[in-house]
Amino acid sequence: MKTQNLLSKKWTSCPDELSDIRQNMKAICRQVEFSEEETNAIVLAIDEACTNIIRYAYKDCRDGIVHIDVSTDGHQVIFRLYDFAKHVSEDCLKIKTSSPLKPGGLGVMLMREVMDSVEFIHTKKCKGNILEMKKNLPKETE
Amino acid sequence: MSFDCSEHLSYKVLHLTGEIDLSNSSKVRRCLLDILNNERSVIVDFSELKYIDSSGMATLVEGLNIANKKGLSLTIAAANGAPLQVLELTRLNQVFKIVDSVSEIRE
Repeated sequence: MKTQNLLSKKWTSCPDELSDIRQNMKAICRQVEFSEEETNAIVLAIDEACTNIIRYAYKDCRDGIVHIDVSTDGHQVIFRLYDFAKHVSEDCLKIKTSSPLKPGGLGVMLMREVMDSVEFIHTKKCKGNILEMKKNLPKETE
Repeated sequence: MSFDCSEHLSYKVLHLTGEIDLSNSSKVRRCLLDILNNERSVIVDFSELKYIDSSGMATLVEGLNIANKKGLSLTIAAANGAPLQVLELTRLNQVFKIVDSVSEIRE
């Protein structure tokens, strides 16, 4: 199947935008027929990724751009999150602690728990970071 | 998101409504820490909570750590839907005391 684009949209790096980002992600998840439970989890994972972009890439500066592309190849939904801040280390995606009572790292743990893959795509061509997260589509029941 | 407080026996009940994320979790944090600083055990009522992210959960974890140090308690009541899923995904459901409703709590 040819890759089908589902969304390409930009938001500012303001925490007030997170609600609208969640609404957009929820609509896409329903469009491709993820279950309600999977939809909740995917919306959470994208929200966590955007929160990390706001806090750690843009360092709480509110006038950055968060660009989200969503597409599907018929097997997976591919979420690409672009920011235009300084390059961040791959270590940002490591789970920091195994104890849920220690602060930090909950967002990354959630992203990894929910998605089938989470990785940075490095390119020297453009400024910023591209975080790619993939989620397998639900298998059709016969 | 909005929140308000009520009393149940010797507990302060913090009722959370709507969605908690990076844009408003600091307000919840201030309220929760105020309750604990007044030496009150707290029940956090999730019954009207539609969404909570890791910044909200981190606030509750911070509150639980403070409560434990002070010999107080922090209990979550009526978690359902997406917030319950977050508790399960983070395995914090094994850390917090979770009850079905505020009225279930006895002295």
